[in-house]
This record gives sequence, C-alpha cells and structure tokens, in this order.
Amino acid sequence: MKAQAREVILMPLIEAENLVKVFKVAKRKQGLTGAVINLFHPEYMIIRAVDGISFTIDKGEIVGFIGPNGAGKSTTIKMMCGILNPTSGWVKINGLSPQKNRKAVVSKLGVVFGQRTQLYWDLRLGESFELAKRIYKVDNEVYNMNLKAMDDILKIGELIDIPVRQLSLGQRMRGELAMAMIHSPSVLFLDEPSIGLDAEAKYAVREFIKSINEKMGTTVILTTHDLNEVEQLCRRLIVLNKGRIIEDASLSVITDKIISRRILIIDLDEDVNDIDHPAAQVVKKEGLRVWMQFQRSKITAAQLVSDLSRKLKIRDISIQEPDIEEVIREVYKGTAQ
Amino acid sequence: MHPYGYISKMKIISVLTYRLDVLISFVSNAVMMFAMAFLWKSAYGAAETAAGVSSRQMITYAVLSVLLSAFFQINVENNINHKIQEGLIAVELCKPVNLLMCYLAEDIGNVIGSLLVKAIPSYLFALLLFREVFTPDLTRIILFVVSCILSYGILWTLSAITGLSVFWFINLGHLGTVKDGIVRILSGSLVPFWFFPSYIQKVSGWLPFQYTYQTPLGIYIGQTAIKQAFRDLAVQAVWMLIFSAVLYKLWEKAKNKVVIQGG
Amino acid sequence: MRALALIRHYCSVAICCARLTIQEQLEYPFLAICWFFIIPIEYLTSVGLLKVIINTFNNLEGWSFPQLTFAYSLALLSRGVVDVFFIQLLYLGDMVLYGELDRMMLRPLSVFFQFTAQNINFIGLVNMIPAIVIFLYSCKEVSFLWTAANIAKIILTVIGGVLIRISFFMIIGTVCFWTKSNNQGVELGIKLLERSTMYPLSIYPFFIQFILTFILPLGFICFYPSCEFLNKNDGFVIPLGLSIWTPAIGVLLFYIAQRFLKYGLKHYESTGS
Repeated sequence: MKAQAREVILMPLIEAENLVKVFKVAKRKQGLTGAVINLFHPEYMIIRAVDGISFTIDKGEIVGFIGPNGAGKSTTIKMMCGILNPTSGWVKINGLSPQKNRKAVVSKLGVVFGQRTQLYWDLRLGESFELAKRIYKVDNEVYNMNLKAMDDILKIGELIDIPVRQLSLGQRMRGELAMAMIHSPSVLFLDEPSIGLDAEAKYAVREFIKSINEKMGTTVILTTHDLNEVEQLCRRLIVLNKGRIIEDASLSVITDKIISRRILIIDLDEDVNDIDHPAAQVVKKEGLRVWMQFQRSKITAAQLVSDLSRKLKIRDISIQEPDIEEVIREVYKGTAQ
Repeated sequence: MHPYGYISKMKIISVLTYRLDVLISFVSNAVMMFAMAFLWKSAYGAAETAAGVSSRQMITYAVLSVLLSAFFQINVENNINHKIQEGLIAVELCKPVNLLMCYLAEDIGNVIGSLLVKAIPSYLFALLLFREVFTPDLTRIILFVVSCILSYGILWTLSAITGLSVFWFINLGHLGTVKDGIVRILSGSLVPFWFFPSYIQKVSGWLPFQYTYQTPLGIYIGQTAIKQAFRDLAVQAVWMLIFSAVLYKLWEKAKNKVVIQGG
Repeated sequence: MRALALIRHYCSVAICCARLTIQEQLEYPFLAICWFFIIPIEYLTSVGLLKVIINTFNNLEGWSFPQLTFAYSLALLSRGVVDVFFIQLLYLGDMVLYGELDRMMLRPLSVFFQFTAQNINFIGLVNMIPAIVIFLYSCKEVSFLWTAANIAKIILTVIGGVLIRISFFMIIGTVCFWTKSNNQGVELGIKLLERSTMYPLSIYPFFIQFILTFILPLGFICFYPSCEFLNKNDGFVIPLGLSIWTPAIGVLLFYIAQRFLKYGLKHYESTGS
C-alpha cells in the first residue's frame, strides 16, 4: 500500500527534458528593391524558440506559463500537446510521448486556444458537445455527469441550445471550456483563455479552473498575460524568456527573490512631522496615513514596526506586497542583461 | 505618400514577395496557354481558316486570353465579403478614406504587380514557344491597351456590385463564383462568339460580357476592323459608366445600412 | 475485435459529422442553391465548347463529339465522387495554415479520416446527376455495350480515377503546407486535372503526353480507359488492357501520397501562434 502510494506521487504527470525547438524563418527586406532581391536570394534566420527547458509537473497542479511575447510559451505548449516535434529533447505525459503515441496521449488532454474556436459556428452549442462525445468515446453516463458538472460550474445549461454565432465572447469561452472537459481529461491546456473577456467572464473562467482542479483533480496548465489571473490561480509559475526558463517556483518565492522592497503602511493616531528611520524612507503621506519603503533584506517588517512604534503612536499597519506586474517586469528585465 | 498610392505600392511588394505564388502563377498560365493553344491547333488541323479567323489568329487569341485573365486581378468582392463576415466593416467605414477607392487602389497594385511578375514573363514565354503568336501594329496595340483598361473597369465595377450585395444577403455564399463562371463563358474568353450562330451573337452584343474579353482580344488579333474597334470601345465605356452609376448608388445605400454580424 | 471496435468508432463519428454538416448547410440555403448551379454550368460549358469546336471543325484528332463527351463524362464520374467525399482535401494547405490541422492532431482520431469524413458534401451528390446524365447520353451515342465486363471495367475506372485524384490533391496539399504558401497550388492542380480530362491527350505534343502518362498519370483518369472502350489506339500503346491500369495506378499513387503526407506531417512546423 505504502509503496504504491509512493509510486503514485513519484511519477510526475508531465515531464520535459531539455526541450529545444528551432525554426528557420525567411528574412523579409524593406521596400520594392528589397522585395525583388528577396525573390532570387532569400535569406533565413535561425530562431531558437525554445532553448533547452526542463520541468516536471505533478498531478493536480495549476501551473502558469508566463513570459513576454515570443518567449516560447506557445511553442512549449504545442510540443507538450504533440502538435510540434521538438528539435531535440523530449516530453512525456503520463509516461507516453505525445509525438509517438499521439492518439493515446491526446485522448486524455483537453485544449482550449483562446482565439480560435472549435465549435460549429452555425449550430447550437449542444451539437458540438455531441460530436466531442463520439470522438472521445465518452459513454452516456459519464457524458451526462460531465454535462451536469459543467452546468454547475459554468451554467452551461442556459447556453446549450443557442447557436454558437449568437453567443458573446464570454459565453463562447464557457462553451469551449465545457467542451474541453466532456471527456474528463487529466490535463487541461489553456492558451490565453481570458483574452478579450470582460471582468465577469474572466471571473467565471477563474472559478472554472479552481473547480475542476479541486473537484475533478484536473491538472491545469495556463499561458496568460493576465497577471491577476496568475496571482489568483497559479500556485506555481514557470517564467519563460527567450526560450529559457527564468523562474520556476511559486509566486511568493519569486516575489521574495526578485523584489525585496516592501511598503509598510502606517495609520497614525497622532500626526507627526518628522518620521525618520535609518532603514526606511517615507514615500507618501496623506493625513494620518504614511507609506514607508524598506528593504526586506535589510530589516524585517516586524523589526521596523517595533522600532517605529517606540517613537510613534501607531493605530494600524499593513504591508503592501509589490505589484505582481512590477515583479514580473523585473524578472523579464533580469534576463535581458 | 498619398494613401491610395501607398496601398498600391504595398500590394505590389506583397505580390513580389510570394516567390512560390509567382512560380505557381507562371506555371498555371503556361498550362492554360498550352492547353488552349494545342486545342485550337488540333481543332484547325490542316484547315487555314474557320469562321473568318485564321489558325494563327485563334492561337494568339487563346494565349492572350489566358494572360488577360492572369492580370485582371480583382479582389474587391472578397475584401468586402471578408470584412463583413468578420464584422469589421463598421471599423473600415470610420477611416478617413473612401473605402471603395482603397480597394480599387489595392486591386490596381495587384494588376501592376501581376503585370510585372506574371503576365509579361508569361507572354515572352508564349512568344518563344508558339511561333504562331504575333504582334500587331502600333495602332492596334494602343487600341488594345485602352480596351483592356475599359474591360478592367467593367469587371471591377461588376465585382464591386456583387461584393456589395453582401450587405443585403449576409452571406455571399458562392454568388461570386457563379458570377465569375457566367462572365467567363459569356465573355468569349474560351470561345469567341464568331464561332456561334448569328442569333447568339446578336444576343451577346446586347450584354456587357463579351466586351470584357472578346473586344480587346479581337482588336489585338486583327479580327476587328479599326472602325468597328472604336465603336466597341465606345460600348465598353458606356457599360463601364452604367456599372459605375449602379455601384455609386448601391454604395450610398450600403453605407446607410451597416449590418454587423457576429459577436 | 479491436478492428471492429475501431470501425464502429469511426462510423459513429462520421455519421455525427455528416448530420451536423447537413444541418449547417441547411442554415444557408442560398449557398446551397448557388452550388446547384455552378457545377452543372461548368459541365455544360465544357461540353458546349467541345460541341462548338466539332461543329466548326468536324472532328478533334479523330474524335467525334459523342466520343469526346464519353471521355469527359467518364472523368466527371470520378470527379463527382471526389467532390462528395473528399472535397476537404482541396483545403488541406489552408487548414494547416489556419491551425485547423493542429486541432485535428489534438483529437484521438486519424488525421486523414478527419479530413475526409468531416464534411460530406451532400450537394455534391445532387451534382452527380448531371454527370451521370451526360455519361448515359454519351454511352447511347457511342453505342456502348452494357456487358457485365464493361460495367465492372467502368466501376474500376471510376475507383481508380478517384484514387488518382485524391492522391494528387494530397501531394499538392502537403507541398502547400510544407512551403507555407497559400492554396494557389490547388487551383493549378484543378486546372491540370481539367485540361487532361476535358480533351483527348492526343491534342498535346509528344512530351506532354509522355508526362501525363508516365510521370503524372492523369491520363489514366479518362483518356486511356476511353481509348479502350472506344477502340482507339491513341496515345501510348500500353499492354494488358488499359482498364486494369487505372485502378492499379490509383492504388500505387494513393500509397505514395499517404506516405508523403505522413512524412510531411512529421516534419510539419506550426506557423506560429
């Protein structure tokens, strides 16, 4: 029993080892003369879209792949799905290679690409589900159970009879997410799922991801530019830039590592003119509220509060973590050096 | 640079950039020219003339017909259809340029690009391979060029009208293809109407289509007398004016009725 | 047993797709109606062209009008079948470029199957009617003998023609997505097919006949089988009775095209996000 349990934990769901993907892109020259020259003497650029990345993802994780445009996120996801062949290195899902055992791997994957739809445009939403049911050989019981689950989580029941072309973007996304879950995949890949969605729809997507992860144990891999989403959902972040993994840890770990700067917000009982501390500076003051910036590497928040409270009458404090956008920007910048 | 001129220039560049496209067009034209030229050559067999046209003239006709279709590039219909399908037409109408003029500029750019890259090499190729193809005197060439411009005008306005019909039909479907098919047959591009019984020729004379291909080609191969040529050019101009007027009216109507499709 | 389950799986998907496609096409009746006209117009135009030529010149390389029509309509039969079941293959290049192929690779079904079963063109079925009508008419005119052997030969020829056509489009489509060009090659392919089936190959000079017989065997779609049925000796004299060659070449070409496509897919590179 114990040995079995250990095995279940030991084998990660997704493994990638030294993945590399190289593209050959034709260089386009400027202007009319350039275009003529290009006709006879084309030049190529070698692009290392993915330059040796390795990681493992365990069952039940929610992992966010983030990085600036062109960092290699989509390319990596495509290699994991089996759509793209790595130039070198390998990736395995459940011990199987998506390139060599495409059908077996793919039958357990759910994929949603934000921009393109896989729904039948002119027919009601339900028809697309029926097709998915047959393609993935989902039996009736499981199908109905999943549909009900999707109704609970996404309220898909109210959309199921509407033709896809009449759905709003947010509704369509719900439809796509539901369709991706019809066959109870063990891994769900989401490529920019909240693009163009309003706040309410984004919230629905987030709740959906949390639900399927908690209730169905689905592992979720998400690429996104929406850092709010990242903050709320991803316990783990893989940050890519220029085809390499820059960071692979939880958000708090990354934040601590990158930006040690914090802001301490103090609400005073009594206004004071002169607030001075060797390890912190006042960056803003509004009435009785003071913002003080300090370095966590030089002094802890607790120590600072303790120091200040000796001189000042403090009514309330809070600590402002750096904005995640700032953190990520620093992460990206770090690699540009 | 004037925005319309810029659009044309960009289109020329994009035509030149797709090397494989260029090659395929060239091969495509060559295939059609071969097929039609050999068809007529075989058909004539030993006969010198038929229906008042010599074998040599007919082969020139066929070859040139393929070239004309290669550089009568018209995309306005698809452009309009596309933009409507994607719900972008409202956005396009907000721009401070006349939308139709933009499409015209783009198509003209396409024509010039095609001329440089596809039509002229193809014609030189044809001259080399078919000893029967000839070049007429200067007057005819000038008349031919003028006639081609008018033909293009007729075809372009017709396409634009078809494209605009999307505003009322939502989905163009294959109306464009049907229209193209009809035009192709009735324009005399495959077989000029001289081979048909006279009652068919009479009917065709009243329709605009034969004036798109048969007229310029007839002038080129010397089948049409110069006097007749001028008359034909006049008819072409009239048809072009008629279609332009219809187009203008439709355009005004369409702008008033912007229907947005999709989400 | 596994094979049976597999077939059942594919059948259920195909039936569902067909049902959905029909529903889709019913959403836009105007579109469907257009198609009803385009194809017959095209067929009749080609036949009309032949008639005009014959009327003026009496014959074309020794082929009379009924004989020409026979050959052409024989090609139309295989074309009709392709239009009904395999029309998606014409869009192979485009599908790849727009990421449709990605989507197909994400499903636990054979990609080839998805291309063919996804869009059964039931309008194409209706369009087979003019093809069959023209064929039967020309059969009557050439006094075609409806013996069992002849019928079998016709069926084999049509099957072979279908295989040759789809192999041809598979190869073109593979080249299209490999070179990342748009679908221009398909139009060229269509033109080639038309030009080699509309007229007898004997109108073309020797080297073109050679190409269309041995290198790109489009001549076997209708020319050579027609030669046999009409007792003509045009083109290259090929032993063993021509009607056996068409299906044989079809199978061979299909095998080559399938391997080529698989190879192309393996080295397929996605065109970016």
